[in-house]
Amino acid sequence: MTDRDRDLVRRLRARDERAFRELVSEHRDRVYNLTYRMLGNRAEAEDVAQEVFISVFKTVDSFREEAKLSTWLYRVTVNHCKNRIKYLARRHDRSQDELDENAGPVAAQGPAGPLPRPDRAVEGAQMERVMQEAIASLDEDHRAVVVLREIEDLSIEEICEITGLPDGTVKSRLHRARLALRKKITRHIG
Amino acid sequence: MTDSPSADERLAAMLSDYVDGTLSAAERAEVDAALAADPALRAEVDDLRASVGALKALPPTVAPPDLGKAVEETIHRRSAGRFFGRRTLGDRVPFGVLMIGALILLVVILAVLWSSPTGSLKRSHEPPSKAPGESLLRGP
Repeated sequence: MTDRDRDLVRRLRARDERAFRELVSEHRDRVYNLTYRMLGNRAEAEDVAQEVFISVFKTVDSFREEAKLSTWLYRVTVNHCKNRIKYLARRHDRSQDELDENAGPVAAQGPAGPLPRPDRAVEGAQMERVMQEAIASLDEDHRAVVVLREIEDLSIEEICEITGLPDGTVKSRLHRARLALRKKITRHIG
Repeated sequence: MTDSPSADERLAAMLSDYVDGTLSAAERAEVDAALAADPALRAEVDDLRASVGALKALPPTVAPPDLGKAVEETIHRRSAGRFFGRRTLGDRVPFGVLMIGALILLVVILAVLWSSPTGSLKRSHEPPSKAPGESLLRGP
């Protein structure tokens, strides 16, 4: 853990509101990206992202400084997402099965770079929608592994640390998730 | 979960590493040989690569700008304002506002002292008046 993170954790433990703002400002996009890709719904993603930060702030005393702060944050986020997926499944929430109709291409929210041509933007939005549906079709364990690896670009070692799973299990889940996704994509776009 | 992975799990892990390009040279050669002999395995690797490519192409999302504020408000609401440490005046009021307030207070104090008959800052230019009876005591 870096000295900066250690200092931030110390101030969080002292219930320093400014430290909390720093934590949120630094990690909010990362946490939101993970919640959005795991849940496939913007409102749910925002709600879970909020719960993650509240949970981190409440439980920061139990954080053992062996792991990086970002690793711990990922772990909390993944656990919250898994719980929300299970909760939504139990509720048979139909909105979970449908993608956020109003979401549109996520790129429209403002990532850097020039605007794409309209036809390519539509194509990109459709592809993104297909991908998001495919991710949502995976169970929560496979979803977590594939999102952490392919979207968050984490190493297998980091994923093992976050999920608490052995190396071989992470890799085989990743393999199965990739194949399942490929099948879903092929079904949609041929 | 067992400590020794099954043959399927081992193959899955190896293919995963193969696609990620993280195998050692010897392991890579082993997979290459298996791929050369098995068209179904080659198709599987193509599928894996296509899947990885599509996932990596997803654009990053940006959190709503008011996410932090919403979290803070939730914390304050749920804890009835007791969750965060006691805030000092400097945390709650911007420094500039505090400085302006201090200047206004200083001006008010000076104005009061200036106009006060007992604590006046004004220097009197009139000669001090003689105390009553002073001339009587001195005599002619």
